[in-house]
Amino acid sequence: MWTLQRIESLAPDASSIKAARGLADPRHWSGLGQHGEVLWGLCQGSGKEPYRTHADLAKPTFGCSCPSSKFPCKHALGLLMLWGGRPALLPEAAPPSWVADAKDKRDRPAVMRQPKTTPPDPEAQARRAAQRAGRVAEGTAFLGQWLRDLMRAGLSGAPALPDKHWNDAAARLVDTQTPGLARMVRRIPELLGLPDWQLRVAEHLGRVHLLLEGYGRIEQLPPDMQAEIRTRLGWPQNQQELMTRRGLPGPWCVVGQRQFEDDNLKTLRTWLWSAQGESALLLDFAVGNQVLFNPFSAGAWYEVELVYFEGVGRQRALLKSLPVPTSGPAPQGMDGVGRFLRGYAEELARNPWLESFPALLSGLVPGETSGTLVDGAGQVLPFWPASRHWKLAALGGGSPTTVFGEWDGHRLRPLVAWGDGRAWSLEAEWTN
Amino acid sequence: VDELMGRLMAGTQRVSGPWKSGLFAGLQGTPEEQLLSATALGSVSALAGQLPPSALPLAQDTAEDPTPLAREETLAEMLGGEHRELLPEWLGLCKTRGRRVPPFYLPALLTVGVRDRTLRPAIAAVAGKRALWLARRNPEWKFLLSQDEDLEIWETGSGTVRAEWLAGLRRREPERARELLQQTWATESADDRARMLESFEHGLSARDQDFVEAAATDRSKLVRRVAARLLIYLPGTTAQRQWIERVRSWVQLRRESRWMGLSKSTKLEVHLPAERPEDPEQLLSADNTMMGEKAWWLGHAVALSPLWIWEGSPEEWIDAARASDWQLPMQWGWGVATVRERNVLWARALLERQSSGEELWMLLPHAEREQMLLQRMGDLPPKWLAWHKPYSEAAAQRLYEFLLQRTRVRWEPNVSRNLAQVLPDLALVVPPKVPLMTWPDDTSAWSYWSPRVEQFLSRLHFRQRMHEEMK
Repeated sequence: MWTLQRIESLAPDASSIKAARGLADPRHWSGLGQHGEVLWGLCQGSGKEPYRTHADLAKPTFGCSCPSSKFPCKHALGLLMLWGGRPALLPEAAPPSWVADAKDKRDRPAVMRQPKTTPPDPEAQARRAAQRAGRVAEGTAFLGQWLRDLMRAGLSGAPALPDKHWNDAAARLVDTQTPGLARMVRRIPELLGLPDWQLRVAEHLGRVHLLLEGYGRIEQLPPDMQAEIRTRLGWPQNQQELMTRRGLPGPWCVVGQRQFEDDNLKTLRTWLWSAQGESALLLDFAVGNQVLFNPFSAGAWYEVELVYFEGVGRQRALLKSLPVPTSGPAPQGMDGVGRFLRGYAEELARNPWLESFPALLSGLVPGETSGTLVDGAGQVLPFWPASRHWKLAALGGGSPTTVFGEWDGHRLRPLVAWGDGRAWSLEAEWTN
Repeated sequence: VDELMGRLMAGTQRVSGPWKSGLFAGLQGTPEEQLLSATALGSVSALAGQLPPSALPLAQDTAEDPTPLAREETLAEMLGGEHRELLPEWLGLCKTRGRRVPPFYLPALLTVGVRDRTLRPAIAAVAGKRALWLARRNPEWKFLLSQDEDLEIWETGSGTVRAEWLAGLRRREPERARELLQQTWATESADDRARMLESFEHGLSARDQDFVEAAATDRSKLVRRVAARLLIYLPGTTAQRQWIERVRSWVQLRRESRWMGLSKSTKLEVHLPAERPEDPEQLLSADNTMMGEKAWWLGHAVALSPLWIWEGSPEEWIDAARASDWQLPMQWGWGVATVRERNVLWARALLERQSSGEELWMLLPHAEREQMLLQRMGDLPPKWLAWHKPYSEAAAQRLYEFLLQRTRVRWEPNVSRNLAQVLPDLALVVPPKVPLMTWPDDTSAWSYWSPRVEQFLSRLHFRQRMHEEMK
């Protein structure tokens, strides 16, 4: 379903949405048409020649002859909005030649990457792998020594250390092709800002240490643990190869989404849940002006095939097919905070680096104190941001509610709640 | 864990040696390696071993609310900051369609109500029972609960807020407003007394006389001035009688019959005293530069006088004034009195004779205003177009034709700019439907028009979505 919301989620910024709304009006357009999932039209701009705008919903990709550097431009978004509101304005027709030409040139798949056809050179691959292993060994050795130095000095002085102390180490770890370790080091100053930083930093350093230790004896570990450790260090997994594996068919329910931006890098996290209670996490990234494509809406079910990344347990996954909307009931969550925490402990025993654990819980009621959810037995799950307390209270009116969120071991970040017959996203802009 | 945290904070350079805790006793390696292993072991087991605390959940809302929920896409956008100015219209629509706000949006909407008092009644009307349940739990939203929220403003509000509130009450229940003010009169500051007494010009009656007369001897000059004015409005008071005598001695209409009654002429005769007249409460104070000092006395004198003293038809008086040197003060004064007395006859006569002003214009009955729009759209000041509301389909159609014509012609700095400026406001008063029309975007003037037209269309488009959503 192409809802307005979904079209707007493609926009690179708010002003594009505004401009596109103005253009979603037939008086700006001529030569409109559609064929299959391709839409096109001529949009009269300020110049004499109208802009040639087209969109391919299947990918989705967009093209426009306007000089805008934004992608998609307001004309493409406007075309989509026009079509979304009144599809009949775009008659079924054969695409004009400029659409076909532009399509060949500009097609940019956003969801699926087609496997490359050129066969890999095994020798070159082996050489690159050996090179990388050498760099990584340097990185892990450096970080091991760095950690021991930190142990010798103690943590009491850590909050007073300048940013440079952490940044230098992180930069070194990027150089050694261990971006995962670099990220872990950069996380330390963030944790130092928390009120319970002693515990949080200890926990984090413990995990770094386990990772280094694990890498030191990686040959003796089972394959899934090896993959987990390599990925945590920052080894990319071969997504093309993953895509050739057999996928796990749906239907899947989108139980939560969260988008954030960090240094020009946009990340979209999408949590899926199956009727059998399996979960999967999709990650999408976009740099700069790139568009984060979000084909999902919270609470909806999709027929889609997934492939899990390699590692301990099953969490991160890739889409192997395009999601097709289908229908389904509100997903059934787990009852009881105690049971949930035991499940988390079990998963933690398998994978000590677990950062974000999906929590789909039923029967929760906001507590008398802000920032708490209480189950039927009176057991508490703390959550943040506390501003979501009243939204949850308003939705459920104190009756047991199903909530999905990300559990970081300390607090839940609730993303979606069910009530009044549908799912409500707690992440929407206006709610904060 | 305490031992672990202690060692971790201090570092191995200060604390090392054998561990006391059995959990860590068997660790191997250098002191640093031991500490790292202990950290990993201790913190992961602490995370895995946590037991949830207990607490009380919120009490359940047991009230049934059969009112169906409104669709909320546009509401969500407005709460996110888009087209916030249309929120009152959305709330009104929601109420007339018999819907209520989906509970999920209540916290955001009630928070709007916390900041904006004027929206509270509209919010309360569509918030449903869940909102009452919420308001009982969050003191910020208690405004929904107070039966007589109004009285609370009166009792606890600040000066201007109370004065505004009292003015509203005075329009609805003049008696009650007076009784309330009498109770606190002695303790109000002079500024507040004057401010609050101002609103008594609405619904003024003989029952207010004692109170106003007492105020006319107030120790504050400000209050005395307001009271003196009110006494002039009060029928049958000495103050009014004296005032009318004075104004009539200044301004007269001389009707002459010429040519044996075949032709009549009326002439405005103005005889102002050479010296500034006695004016203890400074009702005629001359602090205006638009008119000369004498003209300004005259204007004030006319503004303060009841309209009934001008015997004959308004047209006769206004035309005579227009033929005299005193058009400006006379017409200004009549305008003020007309709005105060809500006199349609005078409003009509004044509007037809170059007076302007939203309040005068809105005194005309809707059908009459619309008729005037249809006939004289091009002659009316553009502001009037935006003051009129709501537009019928026919009037809107005429307006769009007019806009097309005006956007097509050359940009006339004064005429065009005034129209362009009210364009976004016009989007609020026309029927909520984007007109299908081709704007002349190939003219040289288009770059001036286009931002305003964009605003106009964007607002109208949003209103259209709102209304479609509520169908």
